[in-house]
Amino acid sequence: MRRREDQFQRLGAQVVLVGLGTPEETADFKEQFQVPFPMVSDSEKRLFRDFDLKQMPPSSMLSVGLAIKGFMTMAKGHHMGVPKGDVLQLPGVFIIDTAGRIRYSHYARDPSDHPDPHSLLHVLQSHADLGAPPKPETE
Amino acid sequence: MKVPDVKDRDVVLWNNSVTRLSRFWERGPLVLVFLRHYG
Repeated sequence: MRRREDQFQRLGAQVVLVGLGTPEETADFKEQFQVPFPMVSDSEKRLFRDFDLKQMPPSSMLSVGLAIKGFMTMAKGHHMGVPKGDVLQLPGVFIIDTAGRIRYSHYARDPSDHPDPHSLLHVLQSHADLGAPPKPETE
Repeated sequence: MKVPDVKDRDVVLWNNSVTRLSRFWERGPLVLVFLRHYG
């Protein structure tokens, strides 16, 4: 996503990453991978719980399918180091409008299940009202 | 369709500062990316 930083900026969107590490671990990660976005340290998983992000069952770590996806990820040139944090925690991505409403959600089915940055940019482009003030609710 | 609201709360940033999560969606949409782990 960092390669698309300017495109998110042009659409007026703010990208923020949430990790499970301490602030110190988060700062190390941000520096090591030159993450251009703000990062939240959520070591107590408060935000993960707020967004109802689940853990995968431990048995799924042993699945052949997951191993293949891991090799494919490495083949694409993505770095895989020693994991810090909760390896069973599933990731997710949300787009929140200026009224604090969730307008897009992606709950990963497995650790390698990430939405393509193009699809996120498409959501931002196709929802012109994401930055609009909230409409009053009518009963 | 009712769109779920995000629970606003204080969050700790990588630089040890604390801010409200809502600060990030005040001026435009927020793309909030949850990472599985570091590594």
